[in-house]
Amino acid sequence: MFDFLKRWAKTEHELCQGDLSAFLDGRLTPKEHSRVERHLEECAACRADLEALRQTVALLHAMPVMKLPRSFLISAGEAIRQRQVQRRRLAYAYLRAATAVATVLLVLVVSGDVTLRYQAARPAPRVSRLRPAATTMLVETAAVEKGQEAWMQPSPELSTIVAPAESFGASEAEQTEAAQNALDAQTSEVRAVPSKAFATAAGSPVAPTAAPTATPRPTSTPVPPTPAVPVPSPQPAVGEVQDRGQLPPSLPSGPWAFLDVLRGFLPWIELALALAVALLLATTLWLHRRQRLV
Amino acid sequence: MHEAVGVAQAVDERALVAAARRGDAQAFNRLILTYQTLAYNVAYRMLHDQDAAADAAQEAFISAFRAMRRFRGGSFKAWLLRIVSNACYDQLRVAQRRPTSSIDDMLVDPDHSTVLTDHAESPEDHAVRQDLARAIQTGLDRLPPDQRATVILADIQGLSYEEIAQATGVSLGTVKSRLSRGRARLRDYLQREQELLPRRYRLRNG
Repeated sequence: MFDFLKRWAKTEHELCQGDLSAFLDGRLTPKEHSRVERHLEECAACRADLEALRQTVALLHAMPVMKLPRSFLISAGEAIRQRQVQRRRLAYAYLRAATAVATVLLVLVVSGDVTLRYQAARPAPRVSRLRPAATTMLVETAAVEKGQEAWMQPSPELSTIVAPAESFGASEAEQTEAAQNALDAQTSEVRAVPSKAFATAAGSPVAPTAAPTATPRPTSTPVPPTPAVPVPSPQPAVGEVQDRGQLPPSLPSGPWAFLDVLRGFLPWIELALALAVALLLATTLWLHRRQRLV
Repeated sequence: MHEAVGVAQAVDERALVAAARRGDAQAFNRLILTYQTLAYNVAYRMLHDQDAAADAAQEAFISAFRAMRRFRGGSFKAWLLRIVSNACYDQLRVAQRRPTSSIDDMLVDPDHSTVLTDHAESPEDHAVRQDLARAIQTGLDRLPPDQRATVILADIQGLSYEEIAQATGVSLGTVKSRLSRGRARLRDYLQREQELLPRRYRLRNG
């Protein structure tokens, strides 16, 4: 755009100087070409410059061709090596992309989960966390049905808290607990599960066999202070996690049913995601170090 | 040139490029045979150093082989020359970090020993051409790399403006102005340093 203005401000002589090179190559528009020709007729300096430029170009044309010091052909072995390098780089790029996607997904799911739990936890009763040993004897299927209403009234008694375990109320209680541990997916998983799990584990105390991945880690996120809720020892919870698969299918109906089902699976999704991220990250870092060494 | 030969070469090249894209190293080597003299000469004129130019050419061919899949039609020559000039810029950066090697270049100037291809000329002519080539190369060395590359591609290798635009990744207008400035600068240098040129090649003024 400003080229036009720049050209305008130049004198005829300056214009011609800038166009000499393209003039030689016949790359000017007919209008520009005749303009240069006209100026050349009256300007000896430009004629001399053009002639010197023509000679310079001619000298460049005559530059000798250098012989190759060696051949640059790619040997068969080198070609295979290069293809391997190429494949490895491609795989590495995919791996990095997958790691990034998984990490973002994990953060989204966990933060979404935490948000949901905080929101749900607000109207929920202040429930003291129970020791699993005390709850194991108490749960009946009937109690699970009753729990629909029961969870509304805050009660320190075991039955009311444990009974609704499978119903909506239980997940509320569970969320109250989980809110403390939030953000760290694995920890919240381990701690969130028990109240449900207790409900089904009635009469069959499970030995706390530690699942290999469910070992609680110290959370790095600040825990919101909830003085009314004493933090339990997560130790027995570890074993309970495994029992969760046998839950009786008593799902609340209505538009929220799907959400609740999803919420029930959320800890598992989080755990799986966290594992995937850990695995991908470890592989990526390992490959990164190896690639640098090679 | 003979038009029929040119067409046959173009068809042949397209087939070779297609095969090379599928990872056929033999096909790619035939492309190298076609272009290695061009690639090396461009690199040599850019870098004025045999070893650096050979390294740049070899690196360019290897990275071109790896990048074949990303070649999306157009002029293979221009695409390859772009990789070559990028390899040259890499070499220039390396040379900037180690500026001591230029002394060796001045002691042993490889341009003008036995590496010239034309041996059919008399010793005197040969000597004259050596002096001439040396003077012009020194002038090229003084150009900024972008102008140098453009002048080399246009006036030593005879590429069109369009091919140069593709090979250097700039617009036609930029090619035009780089070429104009580079040529003018080289012309001024050769006029200033007349005594570097053999008498019969001195630029006549007016």
